[in-house]
Amino acid sequence: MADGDRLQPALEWFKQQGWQPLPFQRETWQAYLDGKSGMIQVPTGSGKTHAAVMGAILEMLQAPSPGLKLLYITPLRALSRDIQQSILRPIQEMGWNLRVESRTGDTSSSQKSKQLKNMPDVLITTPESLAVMLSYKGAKARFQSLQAVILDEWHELLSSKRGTQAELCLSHLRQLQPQLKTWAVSATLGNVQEAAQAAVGIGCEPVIIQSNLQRQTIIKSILPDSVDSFPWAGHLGLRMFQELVDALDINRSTLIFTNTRAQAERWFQALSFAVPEYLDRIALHHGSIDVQEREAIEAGVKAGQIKWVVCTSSLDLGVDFQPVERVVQIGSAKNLARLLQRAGRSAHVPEGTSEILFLPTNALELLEISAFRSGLAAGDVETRRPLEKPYDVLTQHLVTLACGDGFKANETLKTIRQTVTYSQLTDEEFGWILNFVEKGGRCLGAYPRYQKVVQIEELYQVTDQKIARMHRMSIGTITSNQAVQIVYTNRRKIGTVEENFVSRLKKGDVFFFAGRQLEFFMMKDMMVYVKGTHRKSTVTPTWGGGNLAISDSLSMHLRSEIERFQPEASSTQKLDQELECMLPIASTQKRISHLPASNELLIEVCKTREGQHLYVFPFEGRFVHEGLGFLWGYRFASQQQATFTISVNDYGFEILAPKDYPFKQLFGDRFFDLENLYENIKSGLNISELTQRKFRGIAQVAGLVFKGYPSARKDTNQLQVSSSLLYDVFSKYEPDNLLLKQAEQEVLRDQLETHRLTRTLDRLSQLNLVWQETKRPSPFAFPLLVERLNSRMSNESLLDRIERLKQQWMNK
Amino acid sequence: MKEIDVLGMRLQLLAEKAVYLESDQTLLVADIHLGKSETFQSLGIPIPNQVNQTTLERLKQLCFKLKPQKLFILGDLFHSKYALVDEVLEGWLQFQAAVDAEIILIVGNHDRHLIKTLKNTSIQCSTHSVEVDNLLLSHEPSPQPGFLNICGHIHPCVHLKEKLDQLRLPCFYLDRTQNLLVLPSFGEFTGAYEVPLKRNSAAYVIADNCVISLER
Repeated sequence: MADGDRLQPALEWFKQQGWQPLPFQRETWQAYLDGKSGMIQVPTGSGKTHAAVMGAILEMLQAPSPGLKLLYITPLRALSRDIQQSILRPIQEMGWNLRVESRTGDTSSSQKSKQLKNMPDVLITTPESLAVMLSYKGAKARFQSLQAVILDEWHELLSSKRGTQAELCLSHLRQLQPQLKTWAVSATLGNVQEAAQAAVGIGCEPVIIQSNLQRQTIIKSILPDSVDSFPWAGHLGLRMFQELVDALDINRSTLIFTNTRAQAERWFQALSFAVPEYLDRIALHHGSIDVQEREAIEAGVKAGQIKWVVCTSSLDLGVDFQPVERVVQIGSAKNLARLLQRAGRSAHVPEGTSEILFLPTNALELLEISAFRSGLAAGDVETRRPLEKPYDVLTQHLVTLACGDGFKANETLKTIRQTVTYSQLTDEEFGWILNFVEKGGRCLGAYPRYQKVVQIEELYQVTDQKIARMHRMSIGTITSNQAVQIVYTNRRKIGTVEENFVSRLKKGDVFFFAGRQLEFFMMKDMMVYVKGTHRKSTVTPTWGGGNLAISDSLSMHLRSEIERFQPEASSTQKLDQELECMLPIASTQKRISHLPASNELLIEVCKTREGQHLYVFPFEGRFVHEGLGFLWGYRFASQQQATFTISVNDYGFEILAPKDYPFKQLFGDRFFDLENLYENIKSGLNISELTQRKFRGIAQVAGLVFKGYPSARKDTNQLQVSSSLLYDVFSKYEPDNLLLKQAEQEVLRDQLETHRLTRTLDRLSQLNLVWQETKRPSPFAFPLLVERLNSRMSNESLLDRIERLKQQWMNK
Repeated sequence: MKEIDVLGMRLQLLAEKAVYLESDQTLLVADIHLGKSETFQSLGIPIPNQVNQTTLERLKQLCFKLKPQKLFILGDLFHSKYALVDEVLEGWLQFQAAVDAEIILIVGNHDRHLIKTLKNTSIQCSTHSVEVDNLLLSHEPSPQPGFLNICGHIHPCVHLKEKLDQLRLPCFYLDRTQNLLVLPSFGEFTGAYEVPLKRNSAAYVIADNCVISLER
């Protein structure tokens, strides 16, 4: 068949719309119809949904057959309705006989069981809901007609456990249906080839479709009139709210991105205070606000009734906001990919220009803005890598398969190794996990009552229906602190907050949430009942969730921005307005201390009433600094005992020691040694405390902690256990448990980024050291001094610690 | 060890998470939760069984050391119906045989519905609180005027925190206004609940084989 014939139905629909398919869309359809798999990487808003699905629809039209043919996987269930609409449009307009449905956590259970019996032609779902489908018997029959899977927003999933779960589910679908085609859709990434390979699985050559569409991104900033009034530290940025209001226009639809939910709450509060007359046109949108309210806001923006939305990463993705004209970023976005994504929310048309308005929250962020601009100009963007074989996700996956049709060990191991994430899984590791789900652990027969998965004639399966039910309830890899619902006393839902925030409230306390002033009334059955109030309060909930760190790519640009202050650089090149604005601060830095050139490492020592401070400025991002801080702390303490406080931010770290600690005398070349790096870090920081925190999520994913639904609590009361207790028990009785090992790896790799640490030490060792003794903290050091996001490091005994804590408590 | 006087009685708070009344040669422990690991196992969560043995071994060594005439268990000796399996019961019976003391279990919320089965195993059970001199022994707190109520159930612990350091430590909790003493949970695999340190209350935290008082 000629290409034109094959594409005929699609071309016809495009013609009806008065559109012309873009070259990349045609290219995708053809590759699809040739039986290929691959990845589409084009800017948002360029028509990638139609590029992705139309090939599969054409195949269905060519050879109609019963059963499910296309699975469309989206990371956000809130998006499923929009996607369904956009897939349905050509189908309805052309009268094609195809059924499209969604299946997510929001789908009713009657609808879900109907779907299991009679699948639609196209099903839109999330990675979690797909896993749940595999946990029911009959998966083989259900998926044998499947022709293709589309992984939407793959860049969002790729480096997370959700992405790992998607990879595993897909590998199983390919085992059931070897002809399966996979198409991922992704935003710009630094490692396109690897991302595509992870999507299609090993053993398949992915076709990579990129368009020549150019999306220009322009960064502008809102600067203070004078840098003198600008804070040297801080992350809220509220001081500049009047400048922001002046720069915006209530008639132009605007997304205002913040980095945290608490910050979004505070900014919404400030804006509603600044322009009370426009209150009905301003909204607040973040992940803890009730889904219905969020949908109402999204609809309001689309319809043009709501003009300004203060939001978090909750609006990074999806929902086509045609009318968004402006995007504001409060505080640094910390990495280029996120900035591009957010900027892309405006001008949602191919070849449009995106503009992002930056509002710095402290003086040093001016540097970051300038670094962002250089990074974009250089075309840099971060890489996102698949995880390294997380054991907890695989544990969950094997139980999922056992709940369904069951699995055979050898065949499944082969399938699992087709994923990029687990391609290096060893026989021993697989054996351990298999043994863990079947027998409970390493020592065979030690758990006589344990029978999660049983082996019947080579087939591993779950036969206990209660266990299968419990497992289905815990499928998924998103772990967070226990969330509690916030509702009005008439039971209208407002959203969720973390339990530990609520536990600090008493009756009558007022707090600010979802843009409302709420009075705490009572808490019952995991529900917090509140009443609206006019009493004012500035208490906002905080949500866990780590701090963002500047990325590798950005930190490099950050260092070269500082270089531009050097006299020889500034004479040849005009400074960006942000750097211009920062000049007074740069000269203060120079006067009090020193402005490091790119071949210099600045170290400051400063004496205050608190003790002796050491400041080091590698400009590598907070995670690397945390690892480095602990490493150097250890290397100092092993020469002269001490109790240190270590603080970090994206620019550097501080080690605070008792008075007159001789940092400079103890320092030497060996501080850059790579030898014993891991051992030194591990002994330097209280690794078990960090590991224990990581273990919480792992225990949940691996099915060791059962959360279930609030209504199911009564049956599972006997299973209430804290993950820290589990951690203690496993550490004591089964120290070589792989899940413990995974927790430690997650600390070293994700939290301390030790892989970057090696490179950093190498780089630093080649720099000229500049030691400065400062009378007072320099502008670089000041944020470290006032924003103590820090940890302690000491070789005190437990009893000494208790004695000190006791003294502090007695003196309160 | 820490000695305290309440209502004219002298109590020894032991770092082993037990109270000893020297005058009566009576040992008190609470919340042992035997078979909790088996309960988890039967519902598909692999917790090592050794926790039962370790717990009972600790109790046995304590009994060998102090040679009490009476051992009171203030509730929750067994965790649930899944706990009453041969391996767990066997361990318990061996403990009973090895220890000379008279053992009395005041049943708690976890073992109250197991009482029928327990009666077959020659454990002496009491479904209500027991008076010994001026002491009222119970599982859940039930203070009464004129008595010192010693109980379990709560699994108390204290959260000590300053800017840079924090610790969560199991403790004995004494409420002087109500004359109530809550024991820490004895079992290896048991959680803990944070209690507030109010006026007229004291916590005796356990760390590194020491009992340290927190009171102001």
